[in-house]
Amino acid sequence: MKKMILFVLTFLLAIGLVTAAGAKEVGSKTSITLWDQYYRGVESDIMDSLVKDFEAKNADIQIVRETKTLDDLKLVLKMSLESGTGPDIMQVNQGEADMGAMAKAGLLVKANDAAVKNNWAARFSDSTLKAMGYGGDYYGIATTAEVVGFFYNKPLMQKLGLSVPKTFTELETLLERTKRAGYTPINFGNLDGWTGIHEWSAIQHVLTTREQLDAMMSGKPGNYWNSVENRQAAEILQRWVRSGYFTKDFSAIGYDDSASIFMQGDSLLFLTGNWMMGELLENSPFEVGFFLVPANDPSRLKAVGGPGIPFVVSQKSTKIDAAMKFMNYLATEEAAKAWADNMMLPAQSIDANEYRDAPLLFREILDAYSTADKANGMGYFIDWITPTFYDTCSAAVQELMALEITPEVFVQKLQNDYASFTN
Amino acid sequence: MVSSYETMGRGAYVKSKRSVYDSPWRGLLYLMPGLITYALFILIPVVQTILLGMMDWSGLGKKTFIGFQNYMELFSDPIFFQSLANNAVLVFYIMILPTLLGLVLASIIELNDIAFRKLFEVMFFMPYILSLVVVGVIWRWIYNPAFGVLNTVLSAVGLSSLSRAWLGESQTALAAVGFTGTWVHYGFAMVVFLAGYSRISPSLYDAVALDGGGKWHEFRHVALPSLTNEMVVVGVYLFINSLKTFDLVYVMTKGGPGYSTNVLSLYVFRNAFQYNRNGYAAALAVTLMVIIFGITLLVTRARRRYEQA
Repeated sequence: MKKMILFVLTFLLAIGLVTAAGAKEVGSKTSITLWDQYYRGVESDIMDSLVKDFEAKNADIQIVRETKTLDDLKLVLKMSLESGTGPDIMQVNQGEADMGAMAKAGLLVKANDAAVKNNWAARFSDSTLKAMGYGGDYYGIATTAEVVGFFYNKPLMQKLGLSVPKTFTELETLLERTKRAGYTPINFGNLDGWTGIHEWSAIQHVLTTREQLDAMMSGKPGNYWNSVENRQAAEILQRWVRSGYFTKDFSAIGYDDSASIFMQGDSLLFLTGNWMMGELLENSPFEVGFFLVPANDPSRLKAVGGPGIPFVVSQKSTKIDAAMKFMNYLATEEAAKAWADNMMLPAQSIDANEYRDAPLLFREILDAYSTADKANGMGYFIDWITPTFYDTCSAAVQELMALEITPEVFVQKLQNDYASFTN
Repeated sequence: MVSSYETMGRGAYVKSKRSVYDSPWRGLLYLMPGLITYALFILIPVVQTILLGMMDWSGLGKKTFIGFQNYMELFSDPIFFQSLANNAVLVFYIMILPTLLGLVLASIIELNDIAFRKLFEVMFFMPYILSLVVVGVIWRWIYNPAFGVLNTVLSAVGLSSLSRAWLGESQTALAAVGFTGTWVHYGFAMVVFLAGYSRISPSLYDAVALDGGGKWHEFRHVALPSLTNEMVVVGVYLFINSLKTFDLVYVMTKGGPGYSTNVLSLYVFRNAFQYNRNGYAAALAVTLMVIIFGITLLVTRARRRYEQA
């Protein structure tokens, strides 16, 4: 009996010791919660591998990751942050409606000191860094980037004896010659609205100076949007409509349908973002290339786009240091390569030559982004600037391209929207 | 041991139990589950929305009381008025047209000896049970100018001059969305009218026949007066639906081109979830509620007067 009691006691003691040791191990780790919108297969796998790698390098930090769709994330983030039940680190969309509102409410940690300490400027261009923050302050780190340019039908370009234009004038000549040959110069569908914003702003970006564009996106009071260059961009767009450069009945064609129409091979160009690359590589029956909208003045070369949705740290977090550590890890070159290795465009410029085995289209996109980024030519998705700008601009472009309003009225609509928010 | 029953006597026992069951609180007790659910999910949110309509609130931070400022702004907002006008047009497509179509179809089915009657009933009712998002996607495809069915059929029958960018032109987009609404709702109206027809006594039709009346007289003098209740139900229900329209517009046009298909519900959604203008969105929602409530009240009163006359 004594032996039995001794055995039981020894067993309980052993369990106690093991449990205590385990508790100490778990207890010594700082656990941080991460909310991101990388829920799709490959993206989610990359994030998982980054989290695992970070945890291996920082044994004292554990990351609890939750994925949500962007809509779900936007819906719950503000309330949960304010109530103090939100995550420690999360993705927050740039612009007034999201990052702007949260920064103004003091819910996000300013990363100005971290940017200096970790020399973010060495890895990100000035325009990219600004686009990941708000009101001139740094707040976040984006892992991926987006760039809008022309995808083009390579065999058709060759058949028509044309080449990638180097200037805006050359681009217009190319459009004219394509139309004369009986093809659609620009494949386009504007039923969803936002595609029209890209069409106009891509032209606007190469007509304006860097300073003008930054002023328009500064959020400071001023008559920036009814500028001569913006009006000229609207005039060019209407001229292209009158010349029949866009797909017939583009106003009633949705974005996804327009991609299918491009792959039928009767149009030369398709202005959209690099996110379309995977779809084109997989389904296009012909080889597709990519180039940026060219500028007549090389100093005005700017591409619509910018960093993806940045990761930011909650001011209400009790583990800000650990969360900032993970954010800095996302800013490293190895994190950028993890995305590029999977044919995702990282927010940091990457040398396309390192990816010789990747499809040519991916290398052309890497090159285009790198060219724009190094020349401080990454622009903006202009609909960020006020919470209402997306709807105002998409509706105004639809009216502009239906030739229902003049370029003057168009730019005034944009200016009125901007002024109503900034004044 | 003596039981309390014995000490009270039988009559006293029954009386005391009766008094408990007949208590006026008993009725309230039965109402409690419904009342609590109603208060939690309707009454309190409605009161909160009315209060929020008098606030300036971005969704973050403090709410500022601004009285009726949101309502003042609303009455000088051109997008609000355009949305209201679009909703009025949709009343024609989602309330009036389906009601008329439903009545005609129900009458044809009921007053004639139609073969495969059930098949037709199910076929006509089918669109109503589909999700509006699915309907929106289907019709967006039908209207597609590049490879949609509508323009293809028009071209095939030599009417290519009529083919348009249906959802892309401000002159046709609202009608195109509205017609989709007609397609969804006429089956519902038809089923309600068929139910109404089943209440009508066959002897009334016999009386019409004896007087030498035909199908038209059966419809005009028997069916139509007998179906007024159903008409009010269908009318009010579809009227509310036409003012609440959101899914179809969101999926098919997102309110475009320009604001030519923008509707009040979409404008409420945008103000609340995109523009961070929760107070203004609440004011819009309250206005929409007042319009719906007011017109429903008018219709109900008109019906009572008609019945009393």
